[in-house]
Amino acid sequence: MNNSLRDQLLRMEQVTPALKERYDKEIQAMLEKRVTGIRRWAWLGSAVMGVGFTVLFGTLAVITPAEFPLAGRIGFVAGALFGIGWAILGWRVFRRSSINLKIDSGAAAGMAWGLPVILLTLFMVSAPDSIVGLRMIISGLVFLVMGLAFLLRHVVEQSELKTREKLLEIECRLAELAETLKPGKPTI
Amino acid sequence: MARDKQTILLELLVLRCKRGEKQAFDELIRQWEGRLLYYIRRLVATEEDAWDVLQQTWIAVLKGIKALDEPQRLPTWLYQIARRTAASHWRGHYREQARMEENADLAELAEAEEEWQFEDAEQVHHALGRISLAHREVLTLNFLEDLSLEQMAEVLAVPLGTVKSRLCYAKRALRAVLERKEGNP
Repeated sequence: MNNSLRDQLLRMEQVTPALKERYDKEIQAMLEKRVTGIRRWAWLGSAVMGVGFTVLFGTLAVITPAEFPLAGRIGFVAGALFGIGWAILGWRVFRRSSINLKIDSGAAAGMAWGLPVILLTLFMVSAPDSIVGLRMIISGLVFLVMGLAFLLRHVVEQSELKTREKLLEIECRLAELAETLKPGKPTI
Repeated sequence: MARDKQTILLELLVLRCKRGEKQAFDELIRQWEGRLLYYIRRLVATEEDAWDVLQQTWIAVLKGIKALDEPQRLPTWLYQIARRTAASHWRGHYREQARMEENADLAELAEAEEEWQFEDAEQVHHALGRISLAHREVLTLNFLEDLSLEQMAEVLAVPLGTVKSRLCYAKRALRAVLERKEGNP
């Protein structure tokens, strides 16, 4: 146990267990929001709806006749995948009775954003070969480019952070090595 | 110059928090809540207020950590947020006390620069509660050893010279309280 003045002072701080317990709960709530009662069952409802979408769009993707446009079939597959995603998310939240504000909210936002982007792309691909189709493509492109810019920014940020993390891990290992090799310190 | 392992680990933790890793945020709270609570407790009137301020501090940290461009500034940044959050509890009262010391004569203080050693943690802990808020704050930061004088100046939003003079006055005040206590056990 460290006995510097700092550590002794920190040990001197008396805390009331009830207040600490309340704080711990609130900190937990900050990262995880409790879902109870009707809201919890609504999440189960969304999971069931997700399964329904999966079955419906999955079936449509399979049973549509061979001459059905490919873009449409891809749209059905995207809808089925979206359904699976919602089913998993809804079931997880229902089972845990809590929403992880970072992970679950991120997944929900990702799905809510991803499906329209996919569908928009499909509509643009299957737009009629006329001036109206061209207008559809141009207005769709505006949203698509905006979405792509956001996505690219996120990917670049994440990769940059991961690279910095890797560099720091190497630096950390070097610092450990330097500590081990310090004169007077046993190396084994 | 090679940096020490603790500094590197701290930066790694910040980067993991920035990537949204929940476990990293839990780790950050575990590592810092004791020190921040000690600091905040010296700034606010009751323990309950201190826990509330600490919770508000973490909310601000969670919201703002993505914008922390220099991870090595984490200690300064955390104390700055804790201080800002606690400020609502003592706004006004503190500024007046602090202003009196802004123009302290550093030459005069240099004479008093002898290194005072405070060894009895229990006495220091209780004596901290009996000195002024401005003195208590600067001494607490000094005792917690997380910040250099320059970083303390940044947290307290005052010039470096003011930190030095305030620290010196604070040590004098604490010493006076301790001596009085020794005189009247």
